[in-house]
Amino acid sequence: MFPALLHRLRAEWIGAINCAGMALEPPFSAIMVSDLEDQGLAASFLIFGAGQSQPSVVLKWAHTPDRQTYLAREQRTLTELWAISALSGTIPRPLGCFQAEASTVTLQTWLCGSSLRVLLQRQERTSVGQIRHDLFRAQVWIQLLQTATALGALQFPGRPAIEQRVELLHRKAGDRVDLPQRFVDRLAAEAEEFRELRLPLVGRHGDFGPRNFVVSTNRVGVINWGSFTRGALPLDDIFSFAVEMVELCVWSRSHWLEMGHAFYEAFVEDNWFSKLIAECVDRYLRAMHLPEEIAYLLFSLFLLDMAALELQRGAAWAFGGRASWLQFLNHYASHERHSIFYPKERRMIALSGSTVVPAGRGASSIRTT
Amino acid sequence: MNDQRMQSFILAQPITLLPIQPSQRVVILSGTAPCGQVVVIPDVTPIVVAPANPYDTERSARPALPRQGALPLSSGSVHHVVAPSITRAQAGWLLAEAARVLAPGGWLLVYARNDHWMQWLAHRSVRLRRNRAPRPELPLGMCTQLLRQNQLTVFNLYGIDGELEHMNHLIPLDQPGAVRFYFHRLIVPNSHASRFARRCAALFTAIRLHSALFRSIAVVAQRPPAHGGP
Repeated sequence: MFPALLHRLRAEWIGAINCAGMALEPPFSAIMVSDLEDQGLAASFLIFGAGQSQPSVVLKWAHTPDRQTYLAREQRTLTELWAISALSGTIPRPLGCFQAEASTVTLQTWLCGSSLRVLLQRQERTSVGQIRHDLFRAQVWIQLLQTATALGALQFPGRPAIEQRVELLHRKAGDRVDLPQRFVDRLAAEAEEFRELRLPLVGRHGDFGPRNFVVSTNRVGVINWGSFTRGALPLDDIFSFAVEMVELCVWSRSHWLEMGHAFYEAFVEDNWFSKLIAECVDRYLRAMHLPEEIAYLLFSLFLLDMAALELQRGAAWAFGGRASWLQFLNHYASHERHSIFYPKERRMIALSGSTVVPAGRGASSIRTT
Repeated sequence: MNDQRMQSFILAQPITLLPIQPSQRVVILSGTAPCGQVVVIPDVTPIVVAPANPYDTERSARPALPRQGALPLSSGSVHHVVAPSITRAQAGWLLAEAARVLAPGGWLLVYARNDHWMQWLAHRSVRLRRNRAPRPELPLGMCTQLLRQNQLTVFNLYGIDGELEHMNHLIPLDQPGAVRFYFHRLIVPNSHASRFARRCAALFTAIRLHSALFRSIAVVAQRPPAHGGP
């Protein structure tokens, strides 16, 4: 397949590359990048022209129906988004989609730079300043995407949004869900506080994390668009980015923390990384003209949604089976009062041993006993 | 290689590296699967897994005697042969058998340990001093020599990132620019050796010694077609 694909590229598909105004001179060679974890019979090839020191084109090949659907969806998304001038330099340019026997092949331009995940794993990003810079670049980019793909607004339905999700989770997972009633009540109360708040419906990358975030000195880019959806809640991409950084344990210089423990340290414990995440989310909410207190509610909704999705797709879907969203949710629910997203005033009171009674939005909503 | 790894390897790698078409026959020379086990790849005819016992107790450097007809297949009857893990002791007769069963224009994929890997070169003197037996894996030099002896043409060489079972990247060794790019942009070093390789990749590619940066090499060879074309 590898030599056959290069042969087809030289003989048939080169026209699509030339039409885009790119020059790719034969003989071609390619680095194959594959992911054996999903056994997806899919691979990406970074195509080099004669004498080139970096690839010009990425050829993606898929053999199974699932992966073929993913590639077709990615191609459609890129075609739509490439027309938006604000995004055009930061996403791969789609060049063509072809059939090769029983496989699907797509061509797209290569984005110059290195994956942030590779830089983090190589420990080339270790200082607080570097991590902050990358995190805020990701946040600014996601705002750019969301502004460009906004689809109106949704009036937040309040309590039913929580009840439906919790019920669905209990129905699917049964005893594996261990949500304290206090957590569910707190969420329902928070949801009631924000009832009828207008939340923007935005485009969601769906797999936004350091792995797919390409950085170079003065530009950023995002790859792998097959999970893009429109009309999603804001903040989901920011949260998934933060969770993938948790997997890399950037704050501890240890790459062998158990994932549940790493999650706890990043979203519950007080350290420089958790402060950075909180700061990044606050900045984002201010930019989107949303109240800062809603981060707690939206993060909980994000965890509930991801846990439900994991139950639907199987345990191996998330983190290659090394960790589970359900585990994160259970962990978070039992420590929610120490969460970095717990509204600040309440958090101070909770840590000092007082209780909080929610009663409507605003400063008067906090009462101590 | 355990069964699960072997399954994922069988499913993913040969179909990517070899021009496998529906209804073609592919033979995997594997010691982990029982004799005669049939593995089904979607859209490809069943694969006969032949016994090769690559990691048996035979660690001798002496070449084993050729065993004509050891593979239970008729001559020129298969389109592709994949040999993921064969030892130097078995390589002589196994590659001869592979050449026999391959149809003209058929492809062979062999994995070899790079006997010019820089870390092994560095340790060679130590190993000789201790009079240790050579490693049991098939070395690249011996592999290419045997392929030539059996009238098989080496088509491509690929460097493998990490171990065979955890392969994430395949890098063409005929393109020094690609090797340099891989070490500059893609590799995540997970050992002292790979960290060292990353540091000296630019130098090694400049002097055309970049194959020494990889411990494992995938060799794609072809039996010459009967009428000149593939």
